[in-house]
Amino acid sequence: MKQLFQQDLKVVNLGLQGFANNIAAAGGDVTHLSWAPPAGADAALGWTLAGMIGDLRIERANRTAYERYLAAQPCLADLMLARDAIPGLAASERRILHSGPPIAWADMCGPQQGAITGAILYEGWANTLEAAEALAVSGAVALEPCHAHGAVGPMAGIISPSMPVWVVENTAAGNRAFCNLNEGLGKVLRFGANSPEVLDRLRWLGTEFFSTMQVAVRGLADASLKPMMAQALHMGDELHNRNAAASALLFKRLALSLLNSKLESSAIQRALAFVAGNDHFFLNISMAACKSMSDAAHGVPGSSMVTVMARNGVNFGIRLSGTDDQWFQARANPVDGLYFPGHSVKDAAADLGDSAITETNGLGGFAMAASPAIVQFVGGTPADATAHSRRMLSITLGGNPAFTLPAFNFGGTPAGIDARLVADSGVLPIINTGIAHKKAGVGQIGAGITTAPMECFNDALAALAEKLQGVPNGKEGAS
Amino acid sequence: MTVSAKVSAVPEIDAASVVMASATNVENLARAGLGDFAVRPNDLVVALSGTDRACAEALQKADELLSAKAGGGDDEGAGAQQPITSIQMAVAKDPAHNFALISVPGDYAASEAMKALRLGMDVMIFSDNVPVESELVLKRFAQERNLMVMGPDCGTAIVNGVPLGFANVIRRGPIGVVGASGTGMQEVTVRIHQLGSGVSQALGTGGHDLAAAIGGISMLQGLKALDEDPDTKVIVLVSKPPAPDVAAAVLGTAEACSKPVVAIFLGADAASITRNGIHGAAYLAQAADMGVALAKSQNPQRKAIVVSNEVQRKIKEVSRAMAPGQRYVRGIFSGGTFCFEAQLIHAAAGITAFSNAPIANNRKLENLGKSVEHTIIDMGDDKFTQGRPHPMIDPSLRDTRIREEVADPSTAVVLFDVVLGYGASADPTAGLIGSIGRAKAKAQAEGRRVAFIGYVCGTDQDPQNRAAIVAGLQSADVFVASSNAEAAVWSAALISERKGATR
Amino acid sequence: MSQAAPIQALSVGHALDADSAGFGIVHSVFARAVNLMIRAEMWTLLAADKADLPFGIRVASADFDVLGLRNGDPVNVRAGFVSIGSGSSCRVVDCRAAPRWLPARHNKTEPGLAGRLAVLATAASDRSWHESARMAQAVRSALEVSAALCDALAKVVGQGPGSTPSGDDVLVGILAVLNSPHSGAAGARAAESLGRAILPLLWTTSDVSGQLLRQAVNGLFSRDVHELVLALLGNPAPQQLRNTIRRVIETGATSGADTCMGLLAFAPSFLIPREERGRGMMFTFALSRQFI
Repeated sequence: MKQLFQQDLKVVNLGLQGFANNIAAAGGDVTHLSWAPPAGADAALGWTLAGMIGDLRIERANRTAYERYLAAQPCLADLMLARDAIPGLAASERRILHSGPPIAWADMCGPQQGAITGAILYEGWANTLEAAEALAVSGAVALEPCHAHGAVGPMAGIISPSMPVWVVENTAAGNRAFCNLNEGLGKVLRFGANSPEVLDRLRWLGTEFFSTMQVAVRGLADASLKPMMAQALHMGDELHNRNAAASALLFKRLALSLLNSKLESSAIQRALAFVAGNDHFFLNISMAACKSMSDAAHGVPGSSMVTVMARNGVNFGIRLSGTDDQWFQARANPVDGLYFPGHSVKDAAADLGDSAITETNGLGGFAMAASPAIVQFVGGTPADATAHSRRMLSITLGGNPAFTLPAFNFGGTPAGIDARLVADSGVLPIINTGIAHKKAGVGQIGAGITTAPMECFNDALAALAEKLQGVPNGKEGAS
Repeated sequence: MTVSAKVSAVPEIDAASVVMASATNVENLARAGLGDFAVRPNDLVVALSGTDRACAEALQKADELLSAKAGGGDDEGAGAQQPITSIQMAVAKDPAHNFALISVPGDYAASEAMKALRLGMDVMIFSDNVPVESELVLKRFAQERNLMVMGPDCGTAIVNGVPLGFANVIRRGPIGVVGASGTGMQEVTVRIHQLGSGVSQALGTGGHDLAAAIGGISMLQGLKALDEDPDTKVIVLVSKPPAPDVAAAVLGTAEACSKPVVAIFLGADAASITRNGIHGAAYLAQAADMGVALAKSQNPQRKAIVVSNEVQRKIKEVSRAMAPGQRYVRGIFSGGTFCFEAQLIHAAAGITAFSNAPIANNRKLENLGKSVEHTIIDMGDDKFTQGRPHPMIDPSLRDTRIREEVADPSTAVVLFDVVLGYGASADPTAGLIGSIGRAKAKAQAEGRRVAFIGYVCGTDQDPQNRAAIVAGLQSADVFVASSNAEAAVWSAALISERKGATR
Repeated sequence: MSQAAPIQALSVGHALDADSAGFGIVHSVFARAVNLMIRAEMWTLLAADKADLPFGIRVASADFDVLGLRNGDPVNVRAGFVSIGSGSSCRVVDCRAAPRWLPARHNKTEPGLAGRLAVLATAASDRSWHESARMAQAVRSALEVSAALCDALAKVVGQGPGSTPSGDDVLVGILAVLNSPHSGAAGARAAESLGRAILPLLWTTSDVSGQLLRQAVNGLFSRDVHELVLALLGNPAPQQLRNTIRRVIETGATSGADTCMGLLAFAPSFLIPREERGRGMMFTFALSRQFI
């Protein structure tokens, strides 16, 4: 209190606005909060949360996690078949990976079930849709989250053994992350389509495209992804819902690599035409890069930094760096968006996919300030796009200086969500997302903005608090 | 609260409440007869009682007022500033924030206070209904960090010259005040100002600090802070008597202060606390007088209040005009400590009374709505304020009660306080003066003359116009005393005069 | 209150505590550094390309001049945030999760220290102030006769050109050697005597230099100086050693080089292991002859 008497009083007022008005009328300096009960209005959890603010163990752990995240250097190391890259998909296993937190077949949404059925056919584990479905129902095929195997996948996020996966390596720490190939737009497996035409495309991707592209990747002059992503952010991409610039930059590198190779030109032409025809081609690489960066930050005891945000079309799940492999789930929030003509919210599937890994890393919705054109798809004005990014600064550990936003005077994009700040401020992480039709195979029907549900963060903090009990801390007593 | 007030103003609305659906509020609403709700804690409840038409209109008004608050945000574009929703966010915007004033519902107040302390800020908690265990954790934590928690249930403070909560505008000066009673601190600081001196800091400890369970942590922190403050030359300590162990600790620390301390434990014998470096005072105004004397390096004197000849004459005159049945005092207070001090002074004159907050030897008033014999009540007490604003903010219930007392043929004296300063009503006697006039006329018609005695707690710098308020009361024949104690002394004198007359 | 986005700290020095609340003022503003006085400590905001300091905050900001900061502007610290200035020109630096720079530990002294010192001597002597070697020797001699230490130091502290006077820089170099764990008990004793004698003289030099000298007395040095000592004690590739030396020497006009002269005067007797000492003596002799 002694220090206070030597300074100018600057008051934060929460509760009765009249008190703030009076202080101002009396010539004092006061900020009145637009306050609402934090932590979902759970008073007991709020008390636990209060003890976590300024907890030296958490602050130190967050610094360690954040430093590892900032130091990460994702590089496009290879393109491999999933069965060779991911131990859980080895030939001896019958396993298919899906997006989002764990979920039983019976509870899955239409697009995800459709995609799994398609994958079973693609693998040749069944010959008809009915047989494939029966196989899935029987439990003969293990269905697990991509995240459980160091991988990510957009929308239904299906990765099966015979699919090629991008292999991104964080050269700073050595960890690797994987993501499947982007099939393009329209009727594709990731929206739950499993027709013969979809399977044919998958087969081409898994054979000719794969061999061509593997050569391209292995022959890249420069495999580092971070500078390319940073450049794309300066060109109007946000690397989740807008990837055109990054896809074009990647095309340049792949093309040069392929032209230097000994491959037959018509195969090269078909492969490059495929890449050129898809403005979202880079998304899957962006996701794998992001996965490798936040994986580097994962596993620091005591850290409240969010390392995974993912959805499975039913539930939204998060993970914290300091709570190991625990998932914290809740029903996904509704998407506030624009629909393509002929569609409306009645047709929409719930939020789906692992692509929120981009927001987890400060890209996508967090970097919306870099991508004002995106408001044409998700709604709002360009000023809103910048405002969204600014708001995210209040729930992150800092700005990532490697990904600068021109609209921030080239300040870093808000990165490293601190779960404590989300619960305390009521500001939810924002996600730019595509909206799928709830029926398998119809495809994307719109795009919009959604938020991560508060419940996930509350549960995660409760779990982190419990883990910290009994852990000795620096200066103060256990909270 | 403003929305509550505006909504209540709709004609034919009997009661209105717009509150967060915290567990406590929902309970309060049910008890106030405003119904039972199934709600989630983050919901906002608009509860109305009145005619159907009025309710519909009031609901619409509430809707408009509430959406006007919630609107804006993203739609406004680049110019819009993100709303600041947490203490952490305020600190991130400007680390110069060094103080948190918390008046959120009691269920959440302790958590907010803990966060503020962890962010290195001093805290004032106006909220009450904060669990004792939480208060103890907060105060111990603050102590380790050399910070102070003023509260919970702290309504008054003045820090670095800035009035916080319900506080008056007081000249800066050499006297530091620390107290467990809001209105007690208000009278002391007001009188210090009126005597030409000033206040360096006025620190509130909250109403529960001196209980055995808490041990006076904030009181001790406050004493220490004032002792170390170069701008404080004299310390005045204001409280009711603490638990014995706590009293010993507090007096021990006060004794060890390098500066002279005036201490008033209302109800305790002033001589019993007087010791080396500590000067005991018997009533609030006296504590201020002694503090001012010490600040001028003079000897502090414990003078009893003497009723002047002029006032004695007026007392006799009023008594003569009263009907034989008029014999009782009805004390209607908005300040809890004023009610307490008034009871003490009447008791010292042999006058026991009923009260909703009785001192030892006074009796509990069973039916709060009906005064019995001598009755001295605190209308700021929870039981009177359920679902209603405090009488310092909205004196209408107090005015009504005074009217009722005047109508009672056994009432001889109506004794009351008027509290000014920030937080108090902009015009606390607007309704009262007219009320007194009408009630007096009615009593006169019935052959009775009632004596009105009041104390106005405020300075010439307060937002209200103190001079006009005093003049208005005097023109309504109210005896306006210069301190709460003096008003009580005058009242006791008049009652004694009545005892003689009605024997 | 700040309207602009916060400035992200890239790294924070290990001695700096931005979590405890405090306040102070802006002491001095330069294009690529800003000195702040907080709780009687001097903190320095550094442009990204400058070396970490124990009380330093490296930020991504390109040019401090454009921030509109002025001497005497208020500074507030709370919960990892540092605000500078007030009103609309207020800027907030976010230090919460920035990596803390900790000086690296060093295990054993690699043979060949004398040779590495020779490389340093060649590089530094051209650029140092012409009196700095002599001042370093004067301190060395005075240390042996402790009564003379205060007098000798009075002729060193605050002496010479530069915003950090050459004498102060020389003392920083000396203290870097004496405070190194590898200087043994003798070094620790000498560090203590020297420190005790320096502290009362701090008022005779500039604020900023006095603060840096106080930090050096407390064993706190810039990253560049730390890494130089580590490079000398270790076995780096020749190019790496030259780069490390160059980074120190190119600090200021003569400042870095003067620090090296202090280092060179004391390293032979305090850092060269006994087994190598013979060669070291010859080196020292050669060094002092150079400057007679």
